[in-house]
Amino acid sequence: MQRVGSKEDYERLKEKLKARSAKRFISVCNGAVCESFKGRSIALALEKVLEEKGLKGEIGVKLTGCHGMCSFGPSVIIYPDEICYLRVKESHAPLIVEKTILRGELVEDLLYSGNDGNRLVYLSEIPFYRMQKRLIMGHNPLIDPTSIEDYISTGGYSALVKALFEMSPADVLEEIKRAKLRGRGGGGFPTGVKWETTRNAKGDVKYVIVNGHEGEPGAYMDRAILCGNPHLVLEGLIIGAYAIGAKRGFIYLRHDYPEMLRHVQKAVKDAREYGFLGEGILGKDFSFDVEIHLDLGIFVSGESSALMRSIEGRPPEPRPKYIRTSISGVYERPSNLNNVETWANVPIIVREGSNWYSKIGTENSKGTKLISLSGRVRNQGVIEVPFGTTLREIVYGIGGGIEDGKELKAMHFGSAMGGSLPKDLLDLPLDFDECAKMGAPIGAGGLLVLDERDDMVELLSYFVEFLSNESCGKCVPCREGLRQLKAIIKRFREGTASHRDFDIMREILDVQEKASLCALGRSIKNPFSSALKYFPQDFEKRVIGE
Amino acid sequence: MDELIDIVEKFKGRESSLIEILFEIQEKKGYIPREDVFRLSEILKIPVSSILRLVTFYRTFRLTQRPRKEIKICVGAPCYLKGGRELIEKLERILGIKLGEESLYGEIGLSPMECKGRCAIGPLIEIDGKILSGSELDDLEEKIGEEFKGSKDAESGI
Repeated sequence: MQRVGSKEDYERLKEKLKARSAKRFISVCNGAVCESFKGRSIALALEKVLEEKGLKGEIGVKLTGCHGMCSFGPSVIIYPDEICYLRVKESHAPLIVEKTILRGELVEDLLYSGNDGNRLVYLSEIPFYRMQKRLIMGHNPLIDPTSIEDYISTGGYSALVKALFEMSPADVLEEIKRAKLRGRGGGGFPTGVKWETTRNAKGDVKYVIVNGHEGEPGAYMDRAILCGNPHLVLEGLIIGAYAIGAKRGFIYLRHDYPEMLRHVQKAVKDAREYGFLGEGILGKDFSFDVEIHLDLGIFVSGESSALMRSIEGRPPEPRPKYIRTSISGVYERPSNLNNVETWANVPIIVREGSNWYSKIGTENSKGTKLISLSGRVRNQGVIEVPFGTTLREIVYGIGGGIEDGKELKAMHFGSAMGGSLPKDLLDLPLDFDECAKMGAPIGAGGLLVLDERDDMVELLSYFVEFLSNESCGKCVPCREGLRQLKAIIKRFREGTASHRDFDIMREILDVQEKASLCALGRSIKNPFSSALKYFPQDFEKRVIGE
Repeated sequence: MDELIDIVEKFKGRESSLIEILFEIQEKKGYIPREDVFRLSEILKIPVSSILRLVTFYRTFRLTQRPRKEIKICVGAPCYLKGGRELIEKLERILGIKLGEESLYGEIGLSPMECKGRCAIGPLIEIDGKILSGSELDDLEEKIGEEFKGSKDAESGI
């Protein structure tokens, strides 16, 4: 393999790979759920049957990242027709090849069945996919995540080429600012402003970091991107490094996903070989390389200052942020941290332009948002919608409504640090500010749907238990506050709470919000306040008469 | 060759290698033996207390051998809500230990598992590295195995 040393090199390579890539192929999902249902064996079985029929060179089989429709996994999509088969087993392989590939007929049993019982065939017909806008996730079924050639053949790294050959670092920064991209990790902070802070900070050594920690239980979209399309994130990171002036970057990953680690390692290695990383990238005077670091399983290490301690090899304890990490982070150097989804948006913005990008979404929340849809909805999985999509469209359109014909009770965003919304707010648009105003910041994008069977006190009891286990214990308001909240919630659960407990609870939440060092301690107020506001009956029914 | 030296060599030249070294030791041996902590302290010229601070901070690290039978249960919100809570109670009853505990002689352990991103098919448990969900959880007692049910050492209250 020779390094790509110029813009012309890249164009030639892209065309060559495009011409070579199979137009007809079977995409087999190996995302988290499908992996546990042996996506890999299905792919192998399909390959074997294709070989037996002498179709091996003609029709490819790709083992890909998450397709999105996790509750009907394993998912198989046949291209170019986009025929969608669900709940596929290894034993279906001969049937799929003989019927669909050879004779162009459908395997009825594997088709999606809508709420009215109608069978739907194509990706474009199934409401789950049809109602989404899959700028990021749409690439997952098309590429083998371990193949840089696949990524390039679909236009991968063209944004980097554009940035390096047609734009100055300041132009790139301006483009991100104009696109109004906001951080997808939870805070919703304007990405361009963050980049600019690090770019303008004093010092020659600067770092860029991918936060792939994703510790929020019930949020799994970041791993769907990072595992299914690692080069997209890497390309975003390299472009960010160029704009910010960083020569070194870090990718911070969960340790309990061997598959993701393998894919990211492979992506970094291949990108180096092709000359997208290392010295003199694409023949330009720009050098940048990355290191992979593993998180070892504590929620707080996703917090920016804690994460940076962890990269330095120290225990991940947050520090007070009088000085932002974008000015003084890893080894006290200016460090720009963004989460996986934020980085994945960067190549799209650079390639398509901020004008195009900023037409998607709402006034202050641009682009799309990935959401891990779980709980009591029929269709669960990773979805991607433009900001401004209503919660009704998400829960009843894409999600297909509540399981077992039950009544919707609440939509909970952001796990232990987010809030719950009642069904009266179904027409609320998905928007950083609108959702936060209603008491449920969208956080990283985990959406848990609750129905009439669920109880808010039980949910809070779970959250407070989770956070008190994950709290690093450094600051008193968080450590002790959570302990007290746990005791109060226990009284509610046991039916021994009094009305005074409401006051104590509010007081503790207030102190925690004002005095905790990091978001972990501060944001427990969200689930409590929203539950008390929208679902007071769940508490009241457990108070003993005075 | 000495395994520990090999591991240290592998991460040479990287400023923050301690976490990676410890993780690699644990991946190879299943836990971090106390003697390795002391030897690392000598090799890397780092105080034992600094190493132990890391080891005891991260929940992933452990200083004792793994139990012979390790059962993990997902404690993510979606799994917990959709039957995970009842499943924890059931496992605690079968095994005779509480979540987060190990039996006295290291026969069995029941530990919480972080979100695996498989919420759509939750609740999930993992027995000896194999993930089980849905109907696979029906004959749980059988899968755990007769010998581990409420075993003698569990009854001792540890």
